[in-house]
Amino acid sequence: MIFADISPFTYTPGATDWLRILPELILLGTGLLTLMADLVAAPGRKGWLALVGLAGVIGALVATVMLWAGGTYGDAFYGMVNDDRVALFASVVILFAVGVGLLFSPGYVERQGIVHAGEYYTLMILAALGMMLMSSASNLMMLFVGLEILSLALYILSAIVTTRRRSQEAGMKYFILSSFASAFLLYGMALTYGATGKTSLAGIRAFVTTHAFTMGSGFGPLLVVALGLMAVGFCFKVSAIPFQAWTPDVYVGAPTSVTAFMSVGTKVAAFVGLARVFLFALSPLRPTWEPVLWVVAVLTMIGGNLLAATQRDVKRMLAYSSVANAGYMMVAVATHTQASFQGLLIYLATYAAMNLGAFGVVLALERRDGQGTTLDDFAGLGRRNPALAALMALFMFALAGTPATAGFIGKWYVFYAAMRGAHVELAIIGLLASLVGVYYYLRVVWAIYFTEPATAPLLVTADESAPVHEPIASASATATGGVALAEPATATGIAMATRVLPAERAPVHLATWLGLALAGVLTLVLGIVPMLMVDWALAAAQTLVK
Amino acid sequence: MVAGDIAFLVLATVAVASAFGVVTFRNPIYSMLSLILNLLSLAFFFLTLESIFVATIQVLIYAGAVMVLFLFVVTMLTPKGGGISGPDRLRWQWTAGIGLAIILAGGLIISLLNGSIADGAKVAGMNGLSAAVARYGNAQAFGEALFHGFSFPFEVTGVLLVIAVLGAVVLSRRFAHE
Amino acid sequence: MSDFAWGVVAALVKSIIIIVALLTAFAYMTLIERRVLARFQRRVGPNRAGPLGLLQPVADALKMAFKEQFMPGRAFRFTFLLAPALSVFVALTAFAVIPLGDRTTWGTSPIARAWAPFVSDINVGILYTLAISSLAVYGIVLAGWSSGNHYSLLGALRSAAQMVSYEVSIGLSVAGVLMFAGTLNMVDIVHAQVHQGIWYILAQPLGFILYGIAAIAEVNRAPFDLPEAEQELVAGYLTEFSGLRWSLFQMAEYINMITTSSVLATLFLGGWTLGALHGILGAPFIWYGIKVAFFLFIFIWLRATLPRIRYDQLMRFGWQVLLPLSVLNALCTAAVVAFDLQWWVSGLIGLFIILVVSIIYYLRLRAHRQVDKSGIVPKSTGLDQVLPASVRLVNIDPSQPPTSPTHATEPAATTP
Repeated sequence: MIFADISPFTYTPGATDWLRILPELILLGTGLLTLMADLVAAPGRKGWLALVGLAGVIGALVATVMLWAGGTYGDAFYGMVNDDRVALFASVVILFAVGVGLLFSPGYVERQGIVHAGEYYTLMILAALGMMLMSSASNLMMLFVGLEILSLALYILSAIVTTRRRSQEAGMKYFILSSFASAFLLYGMALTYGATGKTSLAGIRAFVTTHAFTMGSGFGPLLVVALGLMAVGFCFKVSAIPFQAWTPDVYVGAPTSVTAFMSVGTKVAAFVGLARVFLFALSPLRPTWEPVLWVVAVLTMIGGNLLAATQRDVKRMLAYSSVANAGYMMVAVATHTQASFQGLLIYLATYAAMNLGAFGVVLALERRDGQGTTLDDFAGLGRRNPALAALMALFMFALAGTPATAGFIGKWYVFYAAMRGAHVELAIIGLLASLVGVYYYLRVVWAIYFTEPATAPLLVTADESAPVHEPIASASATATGGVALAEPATATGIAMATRVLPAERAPVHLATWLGLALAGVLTLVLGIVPMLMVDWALAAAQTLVK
Repeated sequence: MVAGDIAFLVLATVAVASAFGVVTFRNPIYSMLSLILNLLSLAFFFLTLESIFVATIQVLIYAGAVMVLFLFVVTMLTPKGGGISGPDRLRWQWTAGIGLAIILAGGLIISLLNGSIADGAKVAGMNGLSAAVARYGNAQAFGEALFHGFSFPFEVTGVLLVIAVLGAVVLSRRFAHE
Repeated sequence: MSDFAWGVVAALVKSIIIIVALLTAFAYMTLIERRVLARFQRRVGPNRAGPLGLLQPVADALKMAFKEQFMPGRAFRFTFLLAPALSVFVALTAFAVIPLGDRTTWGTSPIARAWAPFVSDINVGILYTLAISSLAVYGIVLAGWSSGNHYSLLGALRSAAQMVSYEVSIGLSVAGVLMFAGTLNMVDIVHAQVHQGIWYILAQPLGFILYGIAAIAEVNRAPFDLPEAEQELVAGYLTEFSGLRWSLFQMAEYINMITTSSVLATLFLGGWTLGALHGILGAPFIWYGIKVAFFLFIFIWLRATLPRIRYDQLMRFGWQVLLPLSVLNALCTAAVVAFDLQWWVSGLIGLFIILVVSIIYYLRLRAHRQVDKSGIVPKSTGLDQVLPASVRLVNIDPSQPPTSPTHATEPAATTP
């Protein structure tokens, strides 16, 4: 819709506009409510704030479903946001991610001694709000504001464990690199506006449809530069190679509950944003941007899988696995058909279920010092905690793409669409890359069921060259009841040289179980009876890609 | 518009030179001063476009508030005025960066030489704008647009600011038992 | 010549006139301040040079011009020279939009309008003044940093923090006036006051007080003159400056005072108007001058009366008192304007808030005053909450040997 007849100087939003962003409004209210509720929550007993957040998330979910059922979609606020089916589909996935993230949080936040628990929950909800705004944006400006909201909240969430240096490092790294990428994106948007005179996606599409595009003259060259800059920005946000460098460090350093949420939520928001810009607004320029995204997709699939295969830390492996998954999703974007966009949405939904679950198991196993997530720690899990082990096996099989799990459905639709969309080579490369994936996912299953745990979970040594300095210091601090900044081990390491850390782990919190169960059930349901979701995704895809 | 062209050339030279100074000065204070100069020359660009409101805001916010905080931190952390020292360990990045910069500059120059902005785009962007400026005046037109058509992004930015405040609390506030 | 060319010539000539006038005003402000301060302290003040000491500024200028200009060996030459010039430049530039009279002071022909008594008539006038004055901090910070001296740097940093903190309040406290006037143009703000038949001090008493306080802090005058605190920082950023460079900083400070007073007069006291009396040729300048002189006198009065406040008090006052009150003022005014209420509603709300805050302050002051007559501060006065954590009040008993400070006796980190 182009607002040629309504001037921006006189436009006034009405009740319909507010109704269209009802889920976002509910989420905003919930976020501010948790912030207020934090005032009355006793320190150390802030788990119930997650319940407040969950109530809001469920409310937003209900509102989203109602909007979907209502069936009338359109722009709101002078074409800034809309509530089309793509936005609603993405909202459901994001709300699921933040809901499970909130379920994972109470036990984890307490265990990690995160003192800013109130802010933690608020930021998590506001990050989800940013993601929803970004995925429902119908204007470049809103796209950017939504992106900034989610990014800023995630920078802080990554650094929220003030007692752990790796968390601080993650926040800092994410902040610097990501703001750099945001600048690229913004530059690209500004040039797009310069070339087309529009910031609304529909307006840009109308402009490039009606005006002849040539590389050599007119607005063409400017738009090509803009395309390149925006591609850089988006590729960074979805952590596609060659812009993946931040991903492992941030995903490992951030609190695991945050990693679980952001690995899913950011991908949904960024890929839907990418699709809105490239598949919808700039769709007529397909020959220009398609080769770029093709290369990125191939690099990301191959590189992500190879890098993930070399990791011994499961959390880090999952970080690289999310890079690899970004590659599969990029295939869907590069293919650019209605079926491939449907595949992208399906992939996002299935990825949400299984990836949240996988990070959830890691979270349940992680110790106070942030260690305990290597393959060695998974050894013998099948006997120590059969339920957790079974769930992890399920998620690993799903991520590997085994039939009857969600992972298979996602890959099936993406690769099938690629083959039908004349990108057989992408489908083949993707399949080969997934084979590498099978190796490292199933290695975890092997560790869980077929290897024996080492004598002690973590041996402590005073040797300075040993790579376990940080755990010693922070473990000593946590043992005294409080938490302290992890110091270099030279001071405390010698004193602690003979101490062996206790082998037992904190019991898994009830809410964490609930979250894991939710993710597990969804992984199975989406894998066995996916048709309902497939239909929804098709309905969504039809509204954006004609 | 010869006068306008001369003004543009002078401003453009200052802007580019100061932007170059930001990245090449070894002393962070001089980098900062270059950045301030750069921001001021941007404000003058807005002035040449007869957008005095944006020009003033540019000075007020960037030069007047943001860069003061930069200056605050930089002067506090480098009291002796020492520049960045030590060997450059990532020398290849220079080469890569220069290469990419040349590509970007090339793309922009090509689009510049080819009359980059289509007339249609000009009309689409400017249509109604000049009429509104004529009708309401410069600052008023800005305000009308901000609080009507663009009210939603403006309001949503409030969420961004709330998050920023939360971040300041989370990252800077330490509790006694930490 | 065309109107445009006439406009350029007029602007140039008017700028020169304004600069000369401001520099003269600065010179005589130094004399007036010394004389007035002397009266406050029951002295006579400088009265030797010329009749009534009227040639004192000339004598001062000659002395400054012939003083040695000292530059420390560790100073950064470029910034050290740049800083004083920047300060004066900013101070002079900010005055450009202050109206000394109406657009039609000399008549209604285009040429007469071009010579109207202000340099520039731009539609974002007040924002322009705020923007330019916000640059004043660079002169000070660069001066402090380039001196290569820790005291100077401390003064500069204090100044940066102070000015940034109080700028927020300045902007918000002006917002009330702008809502009533509906324009940012300084000339039109005066017209709006004439049109509505009030001075905005009546509708915005709280905004007036807030702007006044914040403006004093913004120009680094007593009691907010921490950047140049002689006792603690040996004059702060001014330490290493001497001769003409030093007097440039003084010049900037006094010109900023004049600008601030002019803004106060224009926004809250109706600028050059006084009832209908501004119609007489030349009269606007007199009314304007009287109003500005009144505020300048208050500046001197405050300096003579109030002791310098401590740095933590300054920051706490800025962020915890001024800023919330400015927001409150802006909100109340917005409500009044939005619901089309009369101006006196806003005025009464403002007075009420002032009253409440004054009572709170009075009660707190009385609580602080109840100090034991023995001279030893008892623990219960609450004074230790006011002091920063690094300062501790202890009861000193001379008969007991001194003990080690408390923080050394904290239990060492326990290890199991």
